Amino acid sequence: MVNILKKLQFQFITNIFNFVEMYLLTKLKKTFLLLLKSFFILCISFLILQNKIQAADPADDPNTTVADTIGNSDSDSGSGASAASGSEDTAADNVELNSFEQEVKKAPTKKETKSEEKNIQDEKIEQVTDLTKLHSFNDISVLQKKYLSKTGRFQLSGGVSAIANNPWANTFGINGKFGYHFTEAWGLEASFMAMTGSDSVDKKELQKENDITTSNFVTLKGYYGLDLVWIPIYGKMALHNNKIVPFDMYFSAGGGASQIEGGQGGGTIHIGTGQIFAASKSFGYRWDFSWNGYLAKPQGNEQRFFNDLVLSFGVCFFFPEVNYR
Amino acid sequence: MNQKKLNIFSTMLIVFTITLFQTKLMAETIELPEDELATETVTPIYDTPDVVKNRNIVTEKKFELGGYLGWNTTEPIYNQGKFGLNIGYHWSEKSALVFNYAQWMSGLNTFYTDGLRQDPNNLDFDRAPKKKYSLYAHYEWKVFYGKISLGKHLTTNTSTYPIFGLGTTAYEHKSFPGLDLGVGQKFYFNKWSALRVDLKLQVAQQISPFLGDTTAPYNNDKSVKVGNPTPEPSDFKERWGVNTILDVGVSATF
Repeated sequence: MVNILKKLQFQFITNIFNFVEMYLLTKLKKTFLLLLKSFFILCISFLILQNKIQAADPADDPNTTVADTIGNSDSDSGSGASAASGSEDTAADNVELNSFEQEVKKAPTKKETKSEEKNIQDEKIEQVTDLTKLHSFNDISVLQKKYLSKTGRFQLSGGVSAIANNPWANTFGINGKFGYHFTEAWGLEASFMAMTGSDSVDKKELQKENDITTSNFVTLKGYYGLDLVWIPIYGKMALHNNKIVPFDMYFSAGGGASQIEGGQGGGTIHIGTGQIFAASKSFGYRWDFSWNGYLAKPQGNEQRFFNDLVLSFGVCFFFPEVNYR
Repeated sequence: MNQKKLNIFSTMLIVFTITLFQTKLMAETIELPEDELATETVTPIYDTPDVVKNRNIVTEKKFELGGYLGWNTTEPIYNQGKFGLNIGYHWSEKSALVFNYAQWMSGLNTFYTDGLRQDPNNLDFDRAPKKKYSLYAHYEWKVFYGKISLGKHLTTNTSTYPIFGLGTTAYEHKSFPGLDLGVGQKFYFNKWSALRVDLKLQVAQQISPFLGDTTAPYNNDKSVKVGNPTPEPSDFKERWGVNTILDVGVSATF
């Protein structure tokens, strides 16, 4: 019925046009007539096309339903992060943790053959559950949406340190680090330590019982150096099943110079590892476990190789502000 | 007259046609009620948040068995190394009781004792009572559970837990009490095995190996000094000390 009406409409308009054309033939030039004829044909064509679009059923358009349900999901694990509040991140993290629990359970993905591939346009997506019909990703960056982005940012950290393997002295002090992260995985960091110590119980007893002064035992006084930092591990932890705490685990290697009490220090090799727990997008808590190997010459003794295990705790700040996507 | 009528009629038809086009070509304005439009993003806040809904590593009501190598990094005289076993039971996802047995390696810490043996010190610490083993009961409070990503193609689960323990260290003649305070972390290879790293401060009663001759003529009393009479284990003094213990091993839950 609609088609018949359309045909009649078209015929009517054509007849009108012919009538007008005959009328104007006696009055106007042929060129103007041709332009006018072209204009009316264009209008008629658009009219018919418009009717065809309006006749389509809106429910058949897959884009409407899918656009309403996908939301803001993003698979990039690059440097940016949204400006969402902590509660939004928690909810998103909840979904992430659960979805990636499923990923860990899955078997390794097989290479799909051409016959197994499905064109997304062939699938009708009408409900949220229909999203499972979509073509699976071949490459997924795990633990997406890095909370504490480091690319292109400076890091300033400070805290307290203690020597964990010196039996002759209780050595404590402060540490400071200043670094720059070129990428999420690589960075450079300068560090220093200023230590002070007191004689341990073993040293006091050795002196009291056997009258021996341990001048050949070394106590670290200070260290400064430069490290290459590699951050290959990113993780998230649930605290009491209530809160998600993102963290990075890093390894560092480099060198510097050590100073000792009552003697001459020397060049130092430094290897370390640690974790940074993100409290916000610019602040975190950090612990570090390092090994310093160095040559030193205690007073009145020959030069020897010494090594210290240093345990540090502190806080770190990242600046400037992260680039949001 | 006919020409006039024809003109009027043709004009009306042209106007009608243009009007008809205009109606069809006009865009439709869809108005939505303001109260149905979203004005801000709202995240639901749950009264009882449950961030881990589907735990990959389940340890509740499972036993744990593992082996490790350890070091007492602040021990000056005795051998710093040990090896041992961890045997425990996890009665919930938050709590576990693990018995830590450590067999101390024989010998001395030669990094320091060799120098103290030489002149003019002449101290022989082989005379000190031998340390045998330690047995501690550790309560592990598993407050952290999560996962880590290694690069972009590998994920594994991890767990961090404070450690609180009580136990004893046995020497050849006597045992002494002590307590542990520390933190441990596990990195899981799969659902039942993990790499385990524990760092503890151990406050314990222990033997002081620096038994010396403090009374003149300084060569008659029993002491560790070469040339003096060899002391009995009970001759050595006892004291409280703080040790830093580092254990690295593997564990399996079943």
